[in-house]
Amino acid sequence: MNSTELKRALLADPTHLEPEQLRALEQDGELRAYFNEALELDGLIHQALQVAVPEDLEERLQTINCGEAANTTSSVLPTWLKGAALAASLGMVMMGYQLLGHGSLPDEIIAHIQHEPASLMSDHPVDIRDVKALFADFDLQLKAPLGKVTYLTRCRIHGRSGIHMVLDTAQGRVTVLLIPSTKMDEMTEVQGDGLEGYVLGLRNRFAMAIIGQTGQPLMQVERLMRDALAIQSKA
Amino acid sequence: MGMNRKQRYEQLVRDYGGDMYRVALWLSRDPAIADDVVQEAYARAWKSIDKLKDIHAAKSWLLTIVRREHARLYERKRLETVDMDDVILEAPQDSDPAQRDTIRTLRLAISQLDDKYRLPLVMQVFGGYSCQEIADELDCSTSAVMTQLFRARQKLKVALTDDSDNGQGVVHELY
Repeated sequence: MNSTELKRALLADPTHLEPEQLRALEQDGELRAYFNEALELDGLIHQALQVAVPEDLEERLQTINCGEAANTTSSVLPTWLKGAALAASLGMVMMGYQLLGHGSLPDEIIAHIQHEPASLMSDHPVDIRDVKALFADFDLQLKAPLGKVTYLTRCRIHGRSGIHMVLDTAQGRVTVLLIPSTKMDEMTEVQGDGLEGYVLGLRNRFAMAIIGQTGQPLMQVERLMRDALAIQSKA
Repeated sequence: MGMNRKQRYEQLVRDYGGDMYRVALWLSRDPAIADDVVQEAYARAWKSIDKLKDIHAAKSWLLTIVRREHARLYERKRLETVDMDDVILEAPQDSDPAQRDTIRTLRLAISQLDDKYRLPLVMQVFGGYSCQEIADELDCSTSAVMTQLFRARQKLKVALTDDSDNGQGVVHELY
């Protein structure tokens, strides 16, 4: 791939980088500057597309389309939590959910967890095959058990498609976010809204955030993740 | 015990309802149409939710339904030029004025992109798709998608550059 083709590919999709592109970025300062510019534009595009959603949309979708079930009382979340979830999501819309380049990574991590309050509510263990399958999409292999995973999804954070996972540990629920193609030179604290933790680099390939309630011990989870994860090298 | 049908549906609404509305809005560029599309799409999702075997594929599944529903209901009726509602173009009032202008400029530029550029861009942003995945969804080549995304972003970049004090802003070469 020559320089023109590389730039074309980087501008077209700055969040899914091929090994060849990563190597070129490491070696070429001008290309890195171009890439940073493409990332900045990507962040602005994300912000621009996040238009406000009608406040009653969720309620309408729940009641109109789910008529036969709407009269029952069982639900994933209790009513007061549903309200909190709705308020949180609407709040995020109102403040213009900050994506890549427009808020620090720690702030984005807190905002992201707040944006998905249901992630901390589920008791249902995620099938290990699903865990392995999603991890494989990111060239990650499980070489040791993770314990009880109660939430797992692919999500977009810091402008990249990553993994959002919640582990149910003896000390309570711990959120783990794995963000690919994100280098972290040092561990950075994450704090806000009753949540606390840190984000650190994982072999120069991922940023890994480990977040719990304030005061919750997290080192064990970090060790667990380090022991359990193997990053497959790309050809 | 796994979630039952209703719980799965509720989760789909909670997790993705907002984004699916936004997808419909950027495809149609009309809030009323977007509302219709997203409601029809969720009605279809409810009916066929048992076919959704992997909850982690839900967003992609919904996005496909919304895209097809929009095509089914409105694509043929679409006008060539659409004036975006000011409410849509307006950025949040709590952002700083310069940022607001930037977002407004970008929203206008996105709304004016040809469908062939706007659709892959919307799929990329809301679905987190790679070029290959978009190509698979749209049944075209990866290189075609890359070209469309490159041109879309190039046009948006030019729109931002044109907007920055008639050339006083830094103009970067695209190649």
